[in-house]
Amino acid sequence: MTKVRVWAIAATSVAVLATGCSFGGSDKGSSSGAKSITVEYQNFPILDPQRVGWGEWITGAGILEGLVDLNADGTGVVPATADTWKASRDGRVYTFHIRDTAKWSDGQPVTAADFEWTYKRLFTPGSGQAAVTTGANSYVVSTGISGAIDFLSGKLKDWSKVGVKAPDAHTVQLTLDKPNAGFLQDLAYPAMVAMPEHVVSKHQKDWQTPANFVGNGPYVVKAWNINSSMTLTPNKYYWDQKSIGLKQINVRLSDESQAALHFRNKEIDVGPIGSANLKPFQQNKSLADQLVRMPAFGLSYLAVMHSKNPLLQDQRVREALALGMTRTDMAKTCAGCRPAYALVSDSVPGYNKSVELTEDVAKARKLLAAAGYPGGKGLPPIHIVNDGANPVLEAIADTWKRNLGVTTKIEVLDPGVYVEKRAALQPANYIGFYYGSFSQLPSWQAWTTVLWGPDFTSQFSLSGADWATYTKMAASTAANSGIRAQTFVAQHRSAAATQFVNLVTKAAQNLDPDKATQQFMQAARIRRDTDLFIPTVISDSFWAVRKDITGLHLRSGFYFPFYFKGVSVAGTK
Amino acid sequence: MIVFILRRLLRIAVSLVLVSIITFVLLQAAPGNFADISRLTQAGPNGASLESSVGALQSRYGASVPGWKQYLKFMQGAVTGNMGPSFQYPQLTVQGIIEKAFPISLTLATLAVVLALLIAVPLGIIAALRRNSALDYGTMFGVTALHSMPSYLLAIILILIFSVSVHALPSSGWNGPQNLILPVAALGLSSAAVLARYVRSSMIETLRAEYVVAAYARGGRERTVVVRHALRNSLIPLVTVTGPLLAVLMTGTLFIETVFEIPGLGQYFAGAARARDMPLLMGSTLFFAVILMGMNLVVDIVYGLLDPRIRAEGEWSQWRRRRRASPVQV
Repeated sequence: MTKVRVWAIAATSVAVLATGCSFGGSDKGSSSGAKSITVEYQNFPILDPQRVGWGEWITGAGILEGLVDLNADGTGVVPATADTWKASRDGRVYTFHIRDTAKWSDGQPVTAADFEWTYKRLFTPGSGQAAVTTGANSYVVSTGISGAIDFLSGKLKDWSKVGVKAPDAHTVQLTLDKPNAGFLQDLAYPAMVAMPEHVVSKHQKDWQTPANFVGNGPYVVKAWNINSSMTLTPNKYYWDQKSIGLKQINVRLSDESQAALHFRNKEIDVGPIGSANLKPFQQNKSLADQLVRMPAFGLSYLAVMHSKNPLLQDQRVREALALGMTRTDMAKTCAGCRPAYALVSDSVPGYNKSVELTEDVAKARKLLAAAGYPGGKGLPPIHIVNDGANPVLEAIADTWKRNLGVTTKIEVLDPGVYVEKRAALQPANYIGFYYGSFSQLPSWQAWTTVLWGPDFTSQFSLSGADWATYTKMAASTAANSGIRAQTFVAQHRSAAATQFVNLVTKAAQNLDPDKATQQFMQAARIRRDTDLFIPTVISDSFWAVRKDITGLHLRSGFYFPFYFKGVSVAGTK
Repeated sequence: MIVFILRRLLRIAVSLVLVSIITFVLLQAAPGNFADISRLTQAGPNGASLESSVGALQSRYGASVPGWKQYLKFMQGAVTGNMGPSFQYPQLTVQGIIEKAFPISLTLATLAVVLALLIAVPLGIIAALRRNSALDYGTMFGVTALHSMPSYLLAIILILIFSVSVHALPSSGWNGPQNLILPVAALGLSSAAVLARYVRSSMIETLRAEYVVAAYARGGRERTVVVRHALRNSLIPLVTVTGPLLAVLMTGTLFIETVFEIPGLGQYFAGAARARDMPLLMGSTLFFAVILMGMNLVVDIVYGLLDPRIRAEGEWSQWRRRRRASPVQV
């Protein structure tokens, strides 16, 4: 060996050793033939079920477990840490029994007190410690647990008055303000999983590290290399050992998913396939056979932006724009997309066309003419803002131009600019919509109460001036400013928004599921006719799943759409 | 020399303050804030609101704290080695993130420079020795082509060849030494192109020097003359390029780390900028600035030590001359 070679090898070795470089060491690539799988998932900075984010979703996928889990198609619930439960006749009190065999991964029993502590943590305003929840969870609203909102806002100080009780080690009692037909499904949301009080309290700052992490799900965190990978291994204390089908799960964490490339290169076994990579996958028979479709994952929409220019407050103009699109053309621009005619996913049980709008270009032209803009003449350009380029936007602009003679300006903005702009009151020379996408559990309640629910529908119906007043009041630090702002909205929203809010409230309290569904549907129709939010396309989500993987059920509405529980690899031990 | 170093250190300190102010002001002026952007990028499907995760940092960076106070608090932390938690990773401190992630970037950069030198030195020498030959033109065409190609583009080409077509190497990830090969190659090949041109021109200049001509005249064999006399002197200018190159690579692996999904400091830096994570962005910017300026200082010192002419003609001697001219000792 020459001197040069020796020096080169020495320098390289020293460089690697001296810099202290360490590898994640969990992602071993595609694991065909072994009882382990590699899953690609969105990177996350925090692994806390009560912090809204990607980490929240993966904890609920099999690391931490709640009282109930969703069933295979996501339309109902199955027992999890609770083996039985019953609801009171008035639908306000739910009593859960924690199964005797439920244990944490350190061998400690999971108790009702753990659940009470967990929910108290969820409903407690920011405790001032890093990595501790600030109680940020809109989920609280939909559970309707008595006193939870007031406790979270600080209005109620006495925890004993919140509807969460643990009368004994195996009983959790949850009391609601009013009946909530979707309560059990809400409990399957990742934020409602149990957390180990004895660990989180002891290791307040670093309970999320693998060395300290203790869970009650089928798998435990063995390693977590932030920004790179995570390794999960079986929890030997899990109550349902039969459901643990894998020896190891490698989670590959990625900011910009390249799952299609990684799957083709056999680096992963399961991963989400984005719209851009869908067609090549579908055209390759071998890959197409491994593609699993999750229907109706994201519904894209336009939401009207507040402006000093009252033009878009004219409902005729909004309706003309909603009816004057050609959604079939728009859907062709993105793989896996279909036209969306309603603000309710067609995956919701009992979905029917009565909630859909009917495209009608002739009617749209008449409406526009009646509003004073025949053939789009005199109408200033309509802006559409988004935080990324999207061919659907171009298609919207194209169909509006073609059908209505309306000119559109598309603005692709940095996320920071986008979030500021969509909430700001636009100047008088600016009218437009912002573009967004939304997903939710397949239930009528979810699709009528969350996002385009009572709050947004009320706020978006305000005039530009009222919106300015409302945002000022909401931003104020004065006492009761939040309540004052809400009251202001209730007093100034449109009549249709008030009708929508009242109907949704009634439906949520209705214990008769059929009647409740009818009321939610009627509310959805009222909201549709406001045209404050215009549905554009609905996209399916696709995951590549290696052929021999069994027991993996994709559930619409969840950003980590399957449980690790029950997943296995066929033909391996 | 000590005075020279002290003077440079003072300049570095002033520059760091300026860098920190500019970064802070730009960050404050940028639209959006951490909470809003997190709400957009991290929100669940129910559009759930994400309150600011900076509960522990309210006293430092809360909305009620004026900008100048936030800046001073951060700088106080930076000086005392306690920059506090990041907004995005509240369980980690900024210095903890740097300690964990920088060795990864440093490894990539160091290996890339080693690879670049291993390629550039022989190539440059061969091109210089065969000046104006087809070999010279071919080599220089090759390195110019490599030099004009951004490292991230080269990275994608390497992925297409070695991952997508041959399936020989992982396309990304950070699980073992196999994950080093493509990123180091992407960084190293681009850098080799820069260095090879330096080696060639330096070698050509050295080969014309009288002592080299004399060595040939004394009947020295080409190999002996080149290796013993010409090579050593012609590599001195490489120090001025390799040092800053290492610094640039250490602080500039951002694209490569993103393409190859490597959890180095560049990736944290990019994420901090996107998320408006003020403590992490400020901390990593200052750290990068220290690395760049520190490396330049080291290069100046080493260069001066290697070449007495620099000591005689450069800033060192200016300082010495000024000291001699002035009766007052500063």
